[in-house]
Amino acid sequence: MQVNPLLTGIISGNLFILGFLLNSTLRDYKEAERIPAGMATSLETIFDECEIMLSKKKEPIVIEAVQHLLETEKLCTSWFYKKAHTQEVLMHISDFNRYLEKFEPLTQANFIVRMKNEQNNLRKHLIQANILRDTPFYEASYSIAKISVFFLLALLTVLSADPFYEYVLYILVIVFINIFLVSLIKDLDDPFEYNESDIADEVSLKPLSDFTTRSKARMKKSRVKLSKYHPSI
Amino acid sequence: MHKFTFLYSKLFYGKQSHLKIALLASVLVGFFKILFQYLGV
Repeated sequence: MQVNPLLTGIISGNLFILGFLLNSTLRDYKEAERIPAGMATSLETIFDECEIMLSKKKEPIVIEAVQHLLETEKLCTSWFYKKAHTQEVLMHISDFNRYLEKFEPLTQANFIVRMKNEQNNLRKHLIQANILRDTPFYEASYSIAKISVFFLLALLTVLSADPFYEYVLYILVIVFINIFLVSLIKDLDDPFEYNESDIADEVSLKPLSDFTTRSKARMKKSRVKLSKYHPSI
Repeated sequence: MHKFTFLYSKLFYGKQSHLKIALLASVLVGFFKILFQYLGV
């Protein structure tokens, strides 16, 4: 099979589809990147209010609420690793309502409203992450990209090449770019695909673990002892 | 079998997995290209 001008068209068309897919998945990835940071911010804002209450009086119910927040962070991280169910985490977030009810005599109403808002934000982030995780990106366009890359590879393999080694070099570069893009798109499509062996191209969960470290340090500084979480209400 | 799964996880997971997959595909295409050239396909 001889080199044909149409081959250039096939290569450019293929790269166009891949570029379009990469652009769309990258947008979702950027959005997903903000989710753990948003969750950590919401948790820390609620924690701030609890700390203010604790600075006035070390009420056991407030200490328990802080433990509940730390437990929420642990549960959210487990959820990202698919070790906890979405319903379970959402129920745990809603369970914070019991503490909000008990906070009424301890703090002002607008502080409770602020905590409630952050609780809603936390829930919103979790549902958003769940949608991003469960919705596969344009299944049809992804199949087209995979099929066209396969045909292109087959075509390039059987194509006659003269001068041989010069052509082989060009073909290898084209194959490298195409396969790299397909592999990258597949990985970026699920930004929360965590497992122990592969966390290279996933969204970082560091903001969540940083929140726990910071909160424990702040509690230690305020001389509040945190024990294992056993809800009393 | 264990060696195969180890190699598989090293190749397709972890850091720079896209680079490794793309390099492997390029090497495979290059190999078949040279093979077909010698076979006269």
